Amino acid sequence: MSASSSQALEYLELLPRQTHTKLYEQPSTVLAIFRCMLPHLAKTIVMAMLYMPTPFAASDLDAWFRPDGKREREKALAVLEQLHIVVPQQDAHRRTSYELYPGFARSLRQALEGSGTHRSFGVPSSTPDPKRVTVAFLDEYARNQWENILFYMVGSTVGLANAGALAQDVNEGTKALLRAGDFVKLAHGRVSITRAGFTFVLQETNAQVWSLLIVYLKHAPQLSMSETDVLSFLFMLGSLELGQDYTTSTLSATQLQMLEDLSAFGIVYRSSKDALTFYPTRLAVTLTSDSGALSSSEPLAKSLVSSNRDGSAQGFIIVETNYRLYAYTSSLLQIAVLSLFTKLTTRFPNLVSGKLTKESITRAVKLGISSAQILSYLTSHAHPQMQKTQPFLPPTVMDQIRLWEYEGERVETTNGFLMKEFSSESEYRDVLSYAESLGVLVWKSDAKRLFFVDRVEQISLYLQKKKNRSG
Amino acid sequence: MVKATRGTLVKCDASIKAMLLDIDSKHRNDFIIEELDEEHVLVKETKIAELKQRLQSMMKERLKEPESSESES
Amino acid sequence: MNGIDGTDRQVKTDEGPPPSLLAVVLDTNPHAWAHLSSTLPLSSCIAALLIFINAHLASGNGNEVAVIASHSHRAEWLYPTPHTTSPSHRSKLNGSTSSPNGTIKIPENPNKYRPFATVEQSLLQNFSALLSSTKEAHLAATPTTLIGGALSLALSYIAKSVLRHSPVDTGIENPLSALADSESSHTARVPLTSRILIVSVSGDLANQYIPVMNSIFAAQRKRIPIDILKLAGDTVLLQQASDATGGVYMKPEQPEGLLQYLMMGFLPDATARRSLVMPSAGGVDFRAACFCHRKVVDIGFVCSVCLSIFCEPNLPDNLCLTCGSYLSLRAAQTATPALIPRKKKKKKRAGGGDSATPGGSTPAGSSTPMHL
Repeated sequence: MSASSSQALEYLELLPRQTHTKLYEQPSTVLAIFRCMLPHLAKTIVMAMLYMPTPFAASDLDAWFRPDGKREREKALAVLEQLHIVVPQQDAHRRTSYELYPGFARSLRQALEGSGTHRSFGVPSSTPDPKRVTVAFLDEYARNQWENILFYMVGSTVGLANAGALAQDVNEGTKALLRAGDFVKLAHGRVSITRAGFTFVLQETNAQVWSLLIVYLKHAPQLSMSETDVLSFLFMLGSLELGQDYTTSTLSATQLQMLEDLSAFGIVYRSSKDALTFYPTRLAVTLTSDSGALSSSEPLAKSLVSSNRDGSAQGFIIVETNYRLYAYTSSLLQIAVLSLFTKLTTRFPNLVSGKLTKESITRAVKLGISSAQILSYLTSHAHPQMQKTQPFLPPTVMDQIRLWEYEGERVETTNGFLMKEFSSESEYRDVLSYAESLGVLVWKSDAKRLFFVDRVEQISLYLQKKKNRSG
Repeated sequence: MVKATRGTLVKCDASIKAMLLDIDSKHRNDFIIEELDEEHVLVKETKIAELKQRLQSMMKERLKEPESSESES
Repeated sequence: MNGIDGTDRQVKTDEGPPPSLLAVVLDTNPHAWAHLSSTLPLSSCIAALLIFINAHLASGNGNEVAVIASHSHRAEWLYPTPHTTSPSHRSKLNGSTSSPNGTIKIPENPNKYRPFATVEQSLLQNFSALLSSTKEAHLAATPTTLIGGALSLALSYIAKSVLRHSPVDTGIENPLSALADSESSHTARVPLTSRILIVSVSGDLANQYIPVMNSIFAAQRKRIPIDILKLAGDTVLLQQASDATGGVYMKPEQPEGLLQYLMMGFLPDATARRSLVMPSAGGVDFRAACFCHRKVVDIGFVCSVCLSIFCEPNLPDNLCLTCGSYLSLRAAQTATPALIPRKKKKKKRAGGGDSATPGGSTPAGSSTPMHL
C-alpha cells in the first residue's frame, strides 16, 4: 500500500456495509481494491483463503503467523473486517473462524480467472476511430490539464505574472470542487491557497488525483450521483489500457456525467462532448498503481528503458549538506512549488539553484506548510544520485529544517479520543494492547489508566464485541 | 464503563504547558478539558486554533528572541 | 522539541514492500506428465499456475513474473517472449502499458484485466509452440528434463532485472560499475526481491548435479530463495536447493489441490514471509551425486585437489576427471579403513614388537595418492 492510496483506503473504510456489498459486485473494483488498498499481509491472507473450501479457523491462522508477526496480523485483519472482506464467525464450540465475504470472493476469482460476463474491465470501441490520438498526445493533454489546476492553486501565492491567464483554462466546476475541498479560498476576489491546499500541491501526482477524486466522491450525492457508481467507474478506469479508445455505450447516466468532469481534470480524454468513445490518460491508468503518474514527460521509448520509474523526471532535486539546492527542471510549476520554501537565486535553461534558509523555511511554515511536507516533497523528488544514500537527504539538512519549524511551533497536536474510566486493570491492558496493535495509540498513562488514540471506530467495535461476549 | 472523550492531545514541554494553563485560567477554563501529565494536556478540538494563536502572541510578548543575523553568500 | 534526535530522520516513506519478481520454472518433461495424467493433467496444472501468476501480479503493483519451461531437450522462455533482435527483452510492468512491437495481438476481452491477459496469451502461445516443436527423437533421447539450464536462465534474468531496478540507471552505459554498485548497496536498499519457484515432476536429476549445484550456490549468494513444488518423483537435489537458499519445499499429498497449495504456500513474497511460518523440507537428504556416473552415492571418493566426487576408484589413467591432476584411488579402496590398522598397531605394541615403528612413523592417511 502506498501513501497515495492510503487516503482512498481511509475513505473506503468509513463507507457503510451496504455500499461495500454493492461495490464488491464488480470484479474490476474488487481487483483494484485488492491491488492497491490492502496492506501486504492482508493480501496474503485473502489469497490463502480464496480457494479454501472451508472457513479458516482462527487457531490455524494464528499458527500460520510467527509469534512476532502478531501485530501485523491484527492490523491486517482489522482492515479486512472494516472493509467487510473477511467475516468472523463462531461455531457451537465458541471457536472463531474466518470466511471471505462471498460476493468479494466470487468477484476476485472472476478477476483472476478472467471468467464471467461482467464486462467490467472496459469495453473497447469496436469501430476504429478516424481521429485516433497517440499516447504522447494523451500524456501532453493530461499534464496540461493537471498542471493548470495546480497553477490555479499556487499561482497567486508565488506571484506568477501569468497566473490569471492560466486560471482561465480551469473550468468552473473544477474551481468549485477545489473550494469545496478547502484547497483554496476566495478572499477579495483573489484565490489564495489553504493549508490543505499546500498538502495537496506537495504530494505526488497520484496522491493528488486521489485527493481531488475523494472530494469529488464526497460531493457526488449532492449532484444526485450514486457513490457506488462513481467508485466502481474510477476503479474500472484504473484497469484500462493507455492509448485504447473505449466505448461510452455501456456506461450508466452517472458515469456519462462523470466523464465530462473527469475530462476537465485530464483523467480521460474525449475528442468532443458527445463523442461515442473516450480515452483514459496516464492519470487514469495509474489510479490503481504506484508508478509516478505524470512525471513521464519523456516519450514512451524512454520509459521502456527504465520501466519502473517513468523517465528521469521522477527525481530532479539535489540537496547538499550546505543547504544548497539544485533542481534540474524547466517546469514553471515545479519552480513555483520550490520557491514556496527555497530562496531561489539562479535559473538556467534546465536548472534552478537556490538555498534553503531559515527565512525561507519559516516563511513556508507561516503559510501553513509543515516541515514534514517539505521533507517528503524533497525526498520523493530526490535525484537518482541522491537516492543512492539512505536517507536520501543529508541528515543535517533534515534536522535543521525541523528545528527551524519548531522554533515557531512549540506544541504538537493530535486530534483523537481519550479513553478513560476502565473498570479494571486487565480491561485496561486488553484494550490498550489492541489499540497498540492497530497502531492508533498516541499516548498512555498506566498510572491513571488513560490512553489517547487518533481513531476510535475499531476500538469501539472491539469494546462492543467484548461486551456481547461477556453479556 | 469505558468512556471516549473527543479532543486534541497537545504535547509540549513543561514551560509551554505552564503558559497554556495560564491562558486557560484567564479565559474561564474554556480550552483545556484535562491535564494528563507534565507534557500532555487534552484540549477542546474546536478551540485548538485559538489557543495556539494566544500562545504565539504570549510568546512574542515574553520572549525576546535574539535577532538572527543571516549572512547569505 | 525532543523529536529531533536523528531517530525519526526517516521521513515516513512506507512505500510498502519492494516489488517482487517471481521466476517460475515449469518442468514440462513429457514422460513425467504422462505418468501424472490421471491425477493432474498438465493442462489443469497450467491453468492453476496462471491463476497463481495473476494472484502474484495483483499482490504488488510493481510485481513481475517470468516463466521458463524446462523441457526434455531444451529450456525455453514462456514469458516474457524473448526478442530475437535484442537480447534483453523486458517483461511488462503491471499497470504500465506498452505494446512491444512484433508480439502477438491480444484479443480484447472486457472480462479480463489486461496485464493478466497479456501473460496468459503469450505463455500459452509459446508453450504450444514448444510442444509442437518437440520431435519423437527428442523424447526418445532422454527421460528427464533440463532443470539446470532453466535455473541458470532464471538466475540470469533475475540478475538483469535487479540491475534495471537499481536507482541509478547506468545499466546501459556502464554495466560493470552498476554491478559493483548493486553489490555494495545490497544490504542498504533492496530495489527488487526475487524468488524462483520450480514446479517439478521428474525424478532422477542427478545427471545434472554439477550445473544445478552451481546455480544453487549462485542463488544462495544473491539471496534468492528457491521454492520447490514437487508433484511427483523425488530428487535429493531439489530438496537441497530449497534448504540451502531458505526456500519452501512442498510435496503435496493430493496434487489435485495444486491451486490451494500454490496460493497458501508459495504466494507470500519475501516481505510477507518474515511474519509467516513457511513450510520447509523436514529431513533433507544431503547426499551428493558422483561426477563420473551422476549417481547419488552414500560413500564416495573425493579428489584432494578439486573436491570432485567419484563413486568408484577406477579412473582412466589415474587422472581426476575434473581437474586432471594425478589421482590414484586404488590405494584408498584396497587399503582397509583407518580404524583397523590402528588396532593392529595396538596389538603389535601390546606384543612389544619394535619392527612396526618405521612403518608407523609414516603418515597414517592411506587415502593420499601414492605411487605404486
